[in-house]
Amino acid sequence: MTTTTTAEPLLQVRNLQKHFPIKKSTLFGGQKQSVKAVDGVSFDVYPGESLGIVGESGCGKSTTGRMLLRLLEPTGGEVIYQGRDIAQISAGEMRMLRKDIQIVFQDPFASLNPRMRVRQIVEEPLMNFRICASRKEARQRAREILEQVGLGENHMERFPHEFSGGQRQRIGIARALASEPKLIIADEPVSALDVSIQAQVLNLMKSLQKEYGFSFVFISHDLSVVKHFCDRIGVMYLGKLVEVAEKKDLYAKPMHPYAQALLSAIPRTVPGSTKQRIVLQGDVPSPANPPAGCPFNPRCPAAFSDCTEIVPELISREGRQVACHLYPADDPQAGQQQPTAV
Amino acid sequence: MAKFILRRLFHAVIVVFVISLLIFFSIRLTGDPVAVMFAAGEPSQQAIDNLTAELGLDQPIWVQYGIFLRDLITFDLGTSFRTGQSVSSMVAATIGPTTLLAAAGMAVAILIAFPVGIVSAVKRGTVLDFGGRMFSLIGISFPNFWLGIMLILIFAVMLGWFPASGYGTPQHFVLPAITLGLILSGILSRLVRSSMLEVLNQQYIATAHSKGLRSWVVIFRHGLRNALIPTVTFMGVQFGGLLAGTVIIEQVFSWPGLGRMIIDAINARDYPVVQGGVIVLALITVAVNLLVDLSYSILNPRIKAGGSDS
Repeated sequence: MTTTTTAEPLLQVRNLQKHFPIKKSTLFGGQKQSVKAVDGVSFDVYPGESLGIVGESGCGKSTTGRMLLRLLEPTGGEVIYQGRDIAQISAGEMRMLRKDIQIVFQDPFASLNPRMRVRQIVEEPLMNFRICASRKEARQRAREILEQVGLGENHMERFPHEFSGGQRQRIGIARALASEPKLIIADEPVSALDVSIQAQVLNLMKSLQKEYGFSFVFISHDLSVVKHFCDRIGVMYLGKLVEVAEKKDLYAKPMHPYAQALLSAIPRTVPGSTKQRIVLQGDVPSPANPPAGCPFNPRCPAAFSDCTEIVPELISREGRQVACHLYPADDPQAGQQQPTAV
Repeated sequence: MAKFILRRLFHAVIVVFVISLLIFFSIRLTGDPVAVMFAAGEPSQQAIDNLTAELGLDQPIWVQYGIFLRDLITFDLGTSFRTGQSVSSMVAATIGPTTLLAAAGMAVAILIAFPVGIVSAVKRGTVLDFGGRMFSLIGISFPNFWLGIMLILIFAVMLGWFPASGYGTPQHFVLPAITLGLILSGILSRLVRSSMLEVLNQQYIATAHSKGLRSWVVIFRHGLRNALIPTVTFMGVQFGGLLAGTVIIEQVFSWPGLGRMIIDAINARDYPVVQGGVIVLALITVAVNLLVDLSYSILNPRIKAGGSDS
């Protein structure tokens, strides 16, 4: 979506970090350590776009998503929304800001309160954010929203357990939609669903986005789903973004060696396709003790001496953002530049 | 729903039958009531035989049990050996004080345990949590009669704020109810804490936060209501236990309740009073448990009483 380049970003994430403290007990008392679940992630989200964040499990995608709403407190960095750093504002301000930023969770069975009726689930944010002045109005609005996600009036008085997984995820989407957000974090929204239902829910989310114009941060480990859904994609590895690019660029020619390996793992639909799968050696290092230099260097087939010493920055290289020493920076000053969308 | 209640009533009948059997034979192991009644003097054999026959104890034991069961079906609990009063009227006179005391104790327990348990769970790992857990540990390990005696010593004898024993005014309730409630709140607060912790880790709590709700709304509306199910079960079970468990407290505080009546009757080998009292306690316990089961369907929409009726 090239139109996004000229627009002001809706949300700017700068050097976001989440370090979980852990205690390692040794013979001589405890030693303080931390798991660097998210270690300096920066990206922008533009109005109306869908930014995908992909990576294998444990790379910090969900943690990043939750920090954007401060469901988890960041341990460092900034999340700038409407000129304010979300990571710094008071809890009260954050509560009201959640009107603008909503989340759809992965597990549609765990994310809905089992004791509330569907109507109450959707009405609650309407009343709480004072979108509707009266209960009557809220009920009317809840009915409209549920209708939009494909649930009828006869569903309103039921409890979540009376629905299928796909329907429950629709309830979750309706709930997120209720506060009229400008950004929805979708944290693996379809990975708990049957494949046949996945497409329905994804199409619903797409059409709602078209109607309301909100942005998505779409977190997924499923590269095919991300390809279907997103405009731009960020690839995460071991708590860091290694490449951020337009979808067509990334899928046509991934630049970071990890992105190359990841994309080569997508099952091919064309028989006899010549492209070889890149099989990475070794395992993902522990985020408690990441390797020096580039986090990918121990497994990287192209690693050279710089990679074990210097952490590559996520900067513009060859027209997109890549954190890899293999590619020259577009601009000598790029190191100081804020990351921008290509 | 109706089928469910009917089935439970049938269970209750079986429970009462088994208890009648147990209490009828076990109380007869304590010895001959006639011997106790003549403990003072040297009665003639004739007098002993007369009294035995009068109380119906000369009949074969199975016949005695049959008569007891027959009377039970017509809600006739017999008459006391000692006083000649009907057991029903004695139970009626004592059940009120016992139920009120148990209810007051439960109320005290709820008032203490819920705030302590909730704060402990929400402020997990802090000094407040540590304090809450220490409190429940102390509550669990304290013998209740000792606590009762200590409370009497401090608040009745030394400070003179409340009466040490007896029954009649609201002031009389304070010390025994606090004694019962404090002990019970130890276990209850622990249960509230663990169920709250479990619920607060659920994802729908994060959902509730994302709705921009204040934390206390999240804790109470979304957290506590879901944490109530195991807690209410426990309280139901405990209430039955509380009724029977007031026995010691009733002794300590000279409370004119069912428990004290049964203890006195056991000492006097007053069979009908013991039997009647125990049967009534069993009935109340069964009834409370039934009420708890019925309350599930209100607390948790996923549970429909009777299951298949939905």
